[in-house]
Amino acid sequence: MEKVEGKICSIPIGPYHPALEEIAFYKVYVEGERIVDAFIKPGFSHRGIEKLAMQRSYHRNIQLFERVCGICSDAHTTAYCVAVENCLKINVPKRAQYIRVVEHEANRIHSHLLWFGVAMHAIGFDTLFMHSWAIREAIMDVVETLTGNRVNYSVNTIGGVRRDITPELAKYIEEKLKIVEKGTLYLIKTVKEDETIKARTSEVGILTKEEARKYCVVGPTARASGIDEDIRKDDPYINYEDFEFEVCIEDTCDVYGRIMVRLRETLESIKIVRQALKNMPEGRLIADLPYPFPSEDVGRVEAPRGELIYYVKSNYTNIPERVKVRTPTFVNLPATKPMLLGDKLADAPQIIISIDPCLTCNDRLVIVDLRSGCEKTVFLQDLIKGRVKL
Amino acid sequence: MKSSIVKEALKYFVNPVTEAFPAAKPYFPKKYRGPPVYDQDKCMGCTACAHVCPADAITVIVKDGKRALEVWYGKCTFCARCEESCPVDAIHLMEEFGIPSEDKLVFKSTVTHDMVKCRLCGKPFITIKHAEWVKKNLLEKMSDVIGSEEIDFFLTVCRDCRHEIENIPGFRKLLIRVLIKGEKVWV
Amino acid sequence: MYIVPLLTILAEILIYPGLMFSILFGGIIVWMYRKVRARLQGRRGPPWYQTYADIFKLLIKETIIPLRAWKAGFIAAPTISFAALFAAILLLPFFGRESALGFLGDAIVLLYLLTIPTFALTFGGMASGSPYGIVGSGREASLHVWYELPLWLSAATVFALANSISISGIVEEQALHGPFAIRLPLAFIAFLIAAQAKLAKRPFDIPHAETEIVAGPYTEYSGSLRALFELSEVFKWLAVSALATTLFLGWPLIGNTIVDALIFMVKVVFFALIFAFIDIINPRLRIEQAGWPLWKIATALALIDTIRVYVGLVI
Repeated sequence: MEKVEGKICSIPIGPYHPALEEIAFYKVYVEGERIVDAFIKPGFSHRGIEKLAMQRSYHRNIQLFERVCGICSDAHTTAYCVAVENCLKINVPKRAQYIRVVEHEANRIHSHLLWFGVAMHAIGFDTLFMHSWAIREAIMDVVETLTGNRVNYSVNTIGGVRRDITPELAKYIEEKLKIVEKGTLYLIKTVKEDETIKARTSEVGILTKEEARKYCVVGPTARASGIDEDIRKDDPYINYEDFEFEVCIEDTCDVYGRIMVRLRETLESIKIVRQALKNMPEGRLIADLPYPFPSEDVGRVEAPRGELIYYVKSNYTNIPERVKVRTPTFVNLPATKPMLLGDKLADAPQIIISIDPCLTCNDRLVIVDLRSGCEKTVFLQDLIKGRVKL
Repeated sequence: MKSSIVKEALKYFVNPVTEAFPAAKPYFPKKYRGPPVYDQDKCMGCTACAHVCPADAITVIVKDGKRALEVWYGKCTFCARCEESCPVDAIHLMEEFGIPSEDKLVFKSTVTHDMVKCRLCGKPFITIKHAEWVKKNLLEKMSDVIGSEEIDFFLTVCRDCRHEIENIPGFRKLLIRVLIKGEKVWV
Repeated sequence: MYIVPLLTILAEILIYPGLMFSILFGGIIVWMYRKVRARLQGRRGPPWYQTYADIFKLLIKETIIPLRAWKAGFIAAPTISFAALFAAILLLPFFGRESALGFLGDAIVLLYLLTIPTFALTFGGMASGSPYGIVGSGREASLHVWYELPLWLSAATVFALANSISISGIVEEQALHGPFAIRLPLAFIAFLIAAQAKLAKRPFDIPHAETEIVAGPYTEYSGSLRALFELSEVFKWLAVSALATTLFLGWPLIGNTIVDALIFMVKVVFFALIFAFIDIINPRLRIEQAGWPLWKIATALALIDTIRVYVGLVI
């Protein structure tokens, strides 16, 4: 803890903190309870995924990219398959695209309900946390019956999907969607009526529209600041132009707005899944694959957290030459700094959680010397070899 | 103000969402992704599953003229690519999760096959069942192009030796007549 | 000649309502809180021995004292808190209308004893030398200022109406004329709000907010010192619920000691469940927002009742 200019002291939030699901390091400088400055150090989850992708064939990479993120794993495989299909000019049959839409939206519903629970836990409302995760179990049952797994779906493949939706399965999905819809309406009603939630989340973590444009935020964070941007409407992939839904925008620019955007998006996703099940065309499930040729292209996808971009470059072999991933949280994270300034310390965790951070990081140890006021970062190697004494 | 939460909470009071595991058995849907298990009778040891596995969980061990395929669940990602690529439907994913144990080497499924030895260099290169399957399919579909003796020849000489012989055309015909005089090369 | 009273006092301190009984009964109260909370959230909840298992587990773990901590204060804080609460329990009327160590004027001593744990926690948090401890102690001190006033005001109305400052006098008055919860309803509501803040439960669990400052003043404690804090928590539930019962729900009282003790235990459980229910359906407030229900509303309600008692407008 350092003393800078008399009354200001710094409180570390992270790397180990009960409020954060995944690790990032925030050092907030507070004066009493008011935050005056913030220092954000995102580590980088360096598992070497892009290098590994350059040594494995196109089909093996699907299992690899599923494991970049656990919550939005389907968005990553969809983006990868869309990028490879754009690159090698593969025409995916329509039935496969509709099944991909069902999975994609089920992933979005589960991610938003999970996020809502975590956000409520950050303000101390454990009851609503448990209730929203209980509602989420209905959509997890759908996902498990559709794909066999709860987390890594591994149903997408290059050129189509590997599992089919039978009519009994469609009926089962419809029953479970009713439960999810009723539950989401109850959550929206509670958030609107409860005054304690409004007292904690209104006018907190404000990111005005100009600042949002300056920091180029994406996803529900941008939509809560009034920016009308959704890749499903602006640049449709996997046949999204066949579906009717609306983009949820709020004007309040604070944490309350972000909660309402995500809950309303859940209702829209339920609408999309119902349309997909009703209008499912007949056809094959996997397209015929060509021989690879040199080319490069990009796949853009609306993950639950924002815009996810995959870039794939191919050559004459069945191993891609280069794959590059850009996740949405990488872009949203610097925008927490203007959100944190001017608010109280008690709100810092819920502001950080309101952008839905999805990054697992390795971080380094920071030693703060109170007497000299200097800090230095220590590498793990040095700690192990005993060059640094704590 | 709090009426909706209280009503919902009272509903959950009577009916909790969590299960009393392990007293109550969990729900397994159809085609649930459990660990893969080999069928010894159907499998022919062609190693297609080992080629396709993204995590390299299936290892091929050749010892004493036998080929053993072993899948270790520690590396398996339960992606079901082995099940899709097997030509004879010999490996299936179980529809429930396996039994826990303290020794990690217990978690595997193995299958062993006898192999055919090359006539010229003596190295084993293909399993007997795979060779029989190839011969059966070729005779069914291409019996007007290739005869049974030629198939027998190709399936008893390993790839490296065949490359050496194929480069000398006259020598090849001589060898066919010399090596195969109607003998049975495997039982 | 002095053996029998000595043995009686020893039995009261150690068995009932002393150490063994309070730990057992307090453990059951905390278990009920956790079970009701779990059930209302859709889960199943812990088994009945969970509190005891937690405390036992903490006792067998290593106690680590941070390098920068002030050792004397760090170790003294949980000990003082535990001792003060234990003394408070001995003053509460667990025998129905009398307590283990009653004397004239013990109601005021009881209320003083119940403020000591807060001071102990505040300086324990500051002695631990971590930024979370300091922020937590600051919040604990602010909250303390806000809830003590309505607590003492509502207790003062009870003292005024019962015309005595000893516990047995208050209980006797309620046995004759009816519980003070009905005769002084506004003071009762003010007391419930202030007691929720005293127990540090939602919406007032600001000092040890888990997701904001890891564990507030409790962060650096581990092992047997943490076990002492957990025991203080158990005793605090028991003491505050028993205080609410004594001050506001002293009726009915039948003559038999055993039946009276059992009725008292039932009433204590009832109040514990009220506090648990308010805890379950609320999120946590910010420290400056907590001033509004405590400093403004609860104090105003208690003041109205004080004026009523002074003027003589009560039944």
